[in-house]
Amino acid sequence: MGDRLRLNSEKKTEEVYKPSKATQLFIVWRKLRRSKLAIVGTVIVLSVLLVALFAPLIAPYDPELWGNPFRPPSLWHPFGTDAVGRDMLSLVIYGCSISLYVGIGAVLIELLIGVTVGAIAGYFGGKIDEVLMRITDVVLSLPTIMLLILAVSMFAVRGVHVIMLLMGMLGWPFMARMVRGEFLTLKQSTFVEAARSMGASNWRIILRHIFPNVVSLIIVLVTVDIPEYIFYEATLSFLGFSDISSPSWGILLQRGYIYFPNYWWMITFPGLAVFFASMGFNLFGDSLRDALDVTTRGR
Amino acid sequence: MSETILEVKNLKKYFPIRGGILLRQVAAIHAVDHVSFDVKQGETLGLVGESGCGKTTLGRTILRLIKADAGTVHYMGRDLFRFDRKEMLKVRLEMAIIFQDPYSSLNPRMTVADIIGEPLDIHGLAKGVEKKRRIIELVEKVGLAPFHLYRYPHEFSGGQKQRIGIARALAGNPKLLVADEPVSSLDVSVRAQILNLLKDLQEELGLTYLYISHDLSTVKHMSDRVAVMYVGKLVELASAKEIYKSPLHPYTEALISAIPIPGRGASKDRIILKGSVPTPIDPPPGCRFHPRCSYSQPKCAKEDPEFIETKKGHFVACHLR
Amino acid sequence: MSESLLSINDLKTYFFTAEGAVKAGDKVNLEINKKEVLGLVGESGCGKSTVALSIMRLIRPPGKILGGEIWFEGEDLLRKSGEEMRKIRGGKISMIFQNPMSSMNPVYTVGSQIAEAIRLHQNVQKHEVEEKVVEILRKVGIPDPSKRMKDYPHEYSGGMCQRAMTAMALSCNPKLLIADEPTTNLDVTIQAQILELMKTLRKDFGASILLIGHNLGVISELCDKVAVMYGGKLVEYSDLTTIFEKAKHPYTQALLESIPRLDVETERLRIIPGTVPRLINPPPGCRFYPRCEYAKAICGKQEPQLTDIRKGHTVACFLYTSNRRTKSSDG
Repeated sequence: MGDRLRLNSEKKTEEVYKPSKATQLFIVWRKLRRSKLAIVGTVIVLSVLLVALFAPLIAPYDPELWGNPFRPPSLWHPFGTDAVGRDMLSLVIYGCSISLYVGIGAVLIELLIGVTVGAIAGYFGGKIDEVLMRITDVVLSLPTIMLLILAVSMFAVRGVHVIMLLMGMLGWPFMARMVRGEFLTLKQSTFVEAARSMGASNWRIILRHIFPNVVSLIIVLVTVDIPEYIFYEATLSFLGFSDISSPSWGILLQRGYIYFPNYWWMITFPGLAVFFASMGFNLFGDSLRDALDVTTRGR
Repeated sequence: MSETILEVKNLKKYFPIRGGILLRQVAAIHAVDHVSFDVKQGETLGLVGESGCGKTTLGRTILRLIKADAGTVHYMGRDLFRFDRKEMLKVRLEMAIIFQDPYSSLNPRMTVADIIGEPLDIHGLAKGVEKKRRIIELVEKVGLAPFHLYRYPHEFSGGQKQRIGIARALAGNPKLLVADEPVSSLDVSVRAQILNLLKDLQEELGLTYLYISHDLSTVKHMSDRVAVMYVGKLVELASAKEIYKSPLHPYTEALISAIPIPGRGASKDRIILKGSVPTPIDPPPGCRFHPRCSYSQPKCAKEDPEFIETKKGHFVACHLR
Repeated sequence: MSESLLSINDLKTYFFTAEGAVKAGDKVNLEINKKEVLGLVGESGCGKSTVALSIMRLIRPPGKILGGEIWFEGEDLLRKSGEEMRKIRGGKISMIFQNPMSSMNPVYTVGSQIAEAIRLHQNVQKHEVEEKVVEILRKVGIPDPSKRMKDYPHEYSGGMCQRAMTAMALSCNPKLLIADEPTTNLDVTIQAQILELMKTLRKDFGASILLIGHNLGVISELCDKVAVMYGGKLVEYSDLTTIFEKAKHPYTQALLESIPRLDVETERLRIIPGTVPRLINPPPGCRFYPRCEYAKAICGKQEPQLTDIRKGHTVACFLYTSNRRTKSSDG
């Protein structure tokens, strides 16, 4: 990169090369492609999402259909059947939709509240920060499991939605803290000071300067929290504190647990599903963080 | 006779230190303590001092990036602290700042074009093709090439990053540039490039510089006049030649003598100051320098000396001069 | 005739990273005599700290010392075991670093850290250790040493920390003191104090010093001989006066003319175009070739060898090596 270059300014303005947005995305993709773990993670995440979206099209049977009970895995029923003859494979597939719905829904709520609170507290500081942080502390100290159990018992019919809402509304403090921390640090950085010295408004600084540097953190947190919420829901359902009618993976675990080890397939396959989904998201999240780092080009 | 572009009078900035349960103010850092000086149009005024002397705070306070506690700053004859938001926004284009650390002063997620173009965006100075043209013009002025425009800061060396910072500062056609240690973070063999570039730009664009640094050699090289700060106060102000040839303040003497000259062996008559640079927290009365001064008199411990013009164009704050 | 204390021959230290080999030190040759101060000058990334760490055998993976010899007191340090090196470090060869505040453990008092150094390398009775600590703190100019040895590093100012570090380094009477940019982070007036201190200590302790830095003024203050490094290689080596008045290597010359000096008035400084080279996978030829105004074709293809121009003045440059024999390394 020559320091001595003084180019001919007669060159036409439009000729200057500009990488399009597509190219930037391509760089992210290329970096993801490099690491084997990243590929595994991405594949799993994509599969899980596809299964969840197209469950009715993929599932071989209607999950509610009763049939031959306690059949071990076979050609007709690759995951076997449960106590009343429902196809385990279809149940796991539908369960995927439900678990993912809960996981992603909760994360969206957590994002909405957490990022807003964290950004305002971190950027404006002072009394606003103190007040918001106290609120955060209070929410953080609420006993999540107990509240969830309580809420579910009160709204038994729509258990799954309640769980999702509550997990999001109780889980945002962590995200808020992380976002606040990033904002606090970035607020002090010299390039923010430079922007202020140019007369940039607060809005501009937050949106143009701070947010882009926080987005990768948020994405990583999101990909880590989704499996966490899936797990949470599975645990709750497993313990029996959720609505039986919508068969999430947790519910399946709970149903199958008593039949272990004789009819092992009733708990094993849902369990494996939870495991792989979590692992996939975690791997994907890790690799995504590296891939989004503009300072490496993945060559 | 050049006009005065900046008139600083009795500028004061203290940072409170809070303690106790109720977080009351228990002490204060006297970062800038009643500083007054002028900057003439087209000149380079060097501001030199060691760590904690307040030079960085002074620079920021003048630009209203930090709110002053007292005193006035007149820019082109008008009271800067009384400007409303609209006027202040305009002035921000005319007073730009170059930062010390090229690594952190550029947003790592913005392309060079975006970084340099930001002042144009904020103030709506140019759009589309006109904006691109202006950015290319700026980039070439600082010695970079148009194909650098769509790269990210991390792809450049320290010296180049600093050039990008300078281009950004120039985007709004400024009149006054505050350069805060612009070459301290750069490799020694690269510093000359940036220093020469600054000098060239000053000539070409008629800029006024406030050059802040702890390195007296560089300050003397770049400046027409030099101001020396010590623990929040100005202790001497004179032309660069005068400061070196006949410094009046004992601290300036010691500072000059402390700088090792390349090639000259160990010098025997070096003034070695005792003690360390005092903290600016609630300084005791009297001259700030008297505990380390070899000429100190009883008066120096009681009264703070005034900053007066003892010779033409030469200001000192010392009871003995 | 001064005796040689440390002799580095063809030292090669590389760091192996995913992107390639960082050739931090490539065939470095240096010599330090007894009671002599050698200045090692160069900018950041030129490999000077790597030389210091190589002497101390503190190079950790991905770094590796690939070749060469470091002769100290008749033995090659590169062949010594870990145990033997531990005895030497802090004892016969000690080091002080650039950032004094962070070179000391913040949770131990300054006194206890110096005491630890003393206990490790000397056979001293317990009650004597404290006396020695006080004595050495006094020698480096710390006021009220018996009280201040009980303070923690953060209670010391930058200059005092550096004095304390120097105390630690000198506590066991080393033969060689390596000082890596000891005054770079200090204020100018404090720097002057530390340089005075080092001059006094040099007389009192009779140690040799390897002073590493990029400030040519500081180097001039203290050093008898100067070695200039660039891009991982040694480019010029001679005594102080020669380097500053009769420098032969284009880099040294250009560097001297590009720094602003208090005693010289110039309108424009001499520019060295380009940037400091990265040490990863360097191109063939002289490392300074892209920036050199005297560059010839051969400079881009072959690396110049270190040659004696005169007695005691070595340069690595094709301007001077065309007809000369190369410097032969001696043990």
